[in-house]
Amino acid sequence: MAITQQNSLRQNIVLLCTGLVLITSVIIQAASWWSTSEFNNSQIASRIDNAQNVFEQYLTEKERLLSTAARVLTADFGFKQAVSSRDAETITSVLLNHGQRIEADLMLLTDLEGKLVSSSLKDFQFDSSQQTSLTEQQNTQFIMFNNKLYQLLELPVKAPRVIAHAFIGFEIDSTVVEELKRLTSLDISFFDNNNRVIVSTITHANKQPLKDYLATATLPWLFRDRPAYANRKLGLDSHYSQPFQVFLTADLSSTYQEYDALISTITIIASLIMLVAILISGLFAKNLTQPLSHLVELAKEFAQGKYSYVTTDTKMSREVSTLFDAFSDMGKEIDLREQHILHQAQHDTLTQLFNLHTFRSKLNKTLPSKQAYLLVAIDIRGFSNLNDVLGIQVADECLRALAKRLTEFSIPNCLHARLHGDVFTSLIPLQNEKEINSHIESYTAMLAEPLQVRRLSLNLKFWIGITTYPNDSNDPQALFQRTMLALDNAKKENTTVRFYQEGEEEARLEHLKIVESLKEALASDDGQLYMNYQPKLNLKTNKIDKVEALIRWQHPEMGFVSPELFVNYAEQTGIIFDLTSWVINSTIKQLSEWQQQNIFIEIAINISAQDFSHPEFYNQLKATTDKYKVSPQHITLEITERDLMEDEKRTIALLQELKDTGYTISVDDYGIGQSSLAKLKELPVKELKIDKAFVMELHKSESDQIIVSSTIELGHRLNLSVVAEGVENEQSLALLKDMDCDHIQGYHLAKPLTAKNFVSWLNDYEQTNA
Amino acid sequence: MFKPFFPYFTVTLLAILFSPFVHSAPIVVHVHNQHGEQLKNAIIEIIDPSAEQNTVPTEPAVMDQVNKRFVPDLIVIQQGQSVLFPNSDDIRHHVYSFSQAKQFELKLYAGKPKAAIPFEKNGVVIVGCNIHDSMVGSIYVAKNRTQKTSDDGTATLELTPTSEQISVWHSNQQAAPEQRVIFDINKLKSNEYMITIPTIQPPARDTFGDTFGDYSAE
Repeated sequence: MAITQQNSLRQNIVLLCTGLVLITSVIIQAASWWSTSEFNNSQIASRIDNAQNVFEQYLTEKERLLSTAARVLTADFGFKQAVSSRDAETITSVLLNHGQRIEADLMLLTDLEGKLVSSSLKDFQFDSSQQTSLTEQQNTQFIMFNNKLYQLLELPVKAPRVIAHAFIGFEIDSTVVEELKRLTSLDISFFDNNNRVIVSTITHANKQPLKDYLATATLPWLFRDRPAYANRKLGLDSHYSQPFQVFLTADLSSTYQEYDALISTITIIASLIMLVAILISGLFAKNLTQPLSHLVELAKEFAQGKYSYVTTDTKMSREVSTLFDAFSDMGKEIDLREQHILHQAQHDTLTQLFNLHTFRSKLNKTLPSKQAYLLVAIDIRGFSNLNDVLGIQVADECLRALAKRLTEFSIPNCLHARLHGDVFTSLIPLQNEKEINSHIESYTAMLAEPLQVRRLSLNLKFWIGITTYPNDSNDPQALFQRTMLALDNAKKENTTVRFYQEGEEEARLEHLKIVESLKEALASDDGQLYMNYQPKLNLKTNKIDKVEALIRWQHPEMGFVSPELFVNYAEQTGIIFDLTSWVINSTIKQLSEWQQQNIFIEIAINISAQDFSHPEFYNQLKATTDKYKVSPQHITLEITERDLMEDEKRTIALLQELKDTGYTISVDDYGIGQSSLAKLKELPVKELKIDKAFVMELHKSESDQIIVSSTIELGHRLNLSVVAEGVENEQSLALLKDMDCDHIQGYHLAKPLTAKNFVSWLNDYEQTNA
Repeated sequence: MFKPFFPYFTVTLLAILFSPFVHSAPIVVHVHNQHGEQLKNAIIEIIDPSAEQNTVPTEPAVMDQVNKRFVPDLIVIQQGQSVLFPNSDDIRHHVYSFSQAKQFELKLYAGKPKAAIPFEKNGVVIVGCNIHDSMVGSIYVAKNRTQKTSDDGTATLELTPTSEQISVWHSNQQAAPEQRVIFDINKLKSNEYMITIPTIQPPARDTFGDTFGDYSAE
């Protein structure tokens, strides 16, 4: 297995080891560089010290030898005789002659006053200072003549008293310096007091003066140049104010070569050590990290849900091996737990049947197929009742028993599941269509068998929804939906076995579409929704003093949508509050506009039970009323008798609050509900509205006349105003007038009208009946 | 080693008495060196051109050589007198002089030389031995009357009216060995005065010349 990714641990180990070695070797190198350099410097210094000693020794020795030779010379009788002859020619010749004897390069003779008497060299002259000072020197001294340097030795000429001074000079020439170089193994250069070179063992082609060259010459090196020479400056005794100078010069290039060789050896060794360190640490790190990468592989396998990873690496250390085993054990544990969790996720915990999710996915896997199926959904009738009566535990045991019953169903290869609560489903394979009825029969028969639960024998009854595959749908999920729809319909229709019927699903979808469109219409408020107003005639005053606000919906595609339909859907889908809010807002706004046009009329708004139970209902109504600065006295809230009876306590409290605020409460569709008059009495209502079912055929039906008449009378007795709606002819109107009804409403008077039409209608009406 | 100084002579004339100078009267001369040490055996010659020539002794003076020394190492003779250089040592000597007043050479000899050496010119003659450099002898060849300073460095001079100058010489003087310092008597304002002659220490006895005498003999 190759490690393809960069392993930081490995890098770290290599870095650590290499870093340590690097630091160590750098320190050692620096130390060795420094100490070598120091050693070299001290070597050079000691070389020069030695050379200086040798040089000085040489001069002293030479002086001593010269002195000895010269003394012998000056003690020569003939020499003395010649000197005392005072004949210049003779003296010069004797100087030359005797000088040659001891190989002197220069011979001078001065009198006792130091005045030059004779010289072995032509034209030799002392300068003024030399004349006086030469004889003052005790030892040898150096003088320049004709650009040559002489070591000069003074000796008295005694006959037997000192009669003259002889000076014997030896030239410091290249032979001398070469010999000095041989002795000192250093280069030697003599410079005059003007820093000009007199003689030197160093020749250089440079135009630069030698002295400067020696002091400043460098050799190129790594980072900076190094001085090429180490110089020791020595003064030579002379009578000049600035003494001659001797440079003892050590050529450093060979030292540098040795130094560089040493340094490069050290560097190479250090590099090798570093290389070895990198290799070893790399190897070490690999050994350490390879098992880790195996573990990484293992973890990746785990992540993919494979828990049976086996390593081939046998070189693992004990710790890593233990870790590896622990990982493997962990994998097994995870595997077990995962299977357990998976089971739990797929199964209903109570009955161990498949759950909804699993059933649907299994359905997806099974269908489509060439095999035909029955898809059955069952719901236990009155199960909540059972829960209440026998308790949850018994109910649960009951569900378990039912599940057991299902799994023991005689037809093979069925798929059973508990969807939720008391809803179960079964997929039953069909060999042919003829089997449908027999299978359903055996299925219902199985369900009909009493369930034995805790010694109880329970006879359960069911609602059963059925679809067939592929007849009802090819699509497994649609089939499932339709099965559930069939079950819903079985409940609604209260039938035991309900097959899905073609088109039911589409109707449900239409329903959904209407609801969605209604939401859009409410959100956009673009005129699709609008209000109609149906006038109410006050029979006492013969005036139109009330209208009922009725919502209308003209959808751009679906056209006119029945208010009963969409209000019903709105109630079912919980958007009724939004719808009512819209209605309240539109209506009260209209009321406000009419009042500004001096049309004073009360408006009745239909409110549903859901509106009532909405916590914001009152606040919103009040806020809208205040917003348009309309008095609540002009607003009637129509609530159906059935709605009024729900959740009485809360309803009464709210009604009371509304009444206290000034709203009028009217009981709509009165007469078809089952409300008792006693309860009605307790409610803070002000108006009864007799359902149109009693009014529309009033002129024909005597029984209706009795009901309406007694209702009106009853209402009046309870101090309620009574409205009759659905008045469609003159006879009914006349009857109602006779019955002392307070208001009438209906096509006979006017259809529901748009706000604009209502105003013109009202004008016409008032003019006609004025 | 000889170390010359400038000036070679410092002559300090100190007038002690301001009485009129009288030529016939004796004058006292004090001679000392630069360190104030009194110099004995300084030779003072009274130069008097008109004085009669002193009678030259016929007998030669003697400068013996004993124990590698000239004995005495200083003699004063009259111009024209001869000097005999007998050799009393067991070894031979080579007596010579390169002085201007007299150059001569008595090549290696033992015992008494054949003849005495005549000194015809006045002046100082320094004699040495060619093979023994430490041997130095001085012969003062006088033309006029001379007088040596005593141990206290003084000399009393009896001057004649014709005396014009005196010369002063000392064997250890710093100046050239043969040089004499001349003083003009007429200019002296007193009859007692001091003369400073800078001196040097005579070289040690056991010298290079003694050690390597054989070489120098060549």
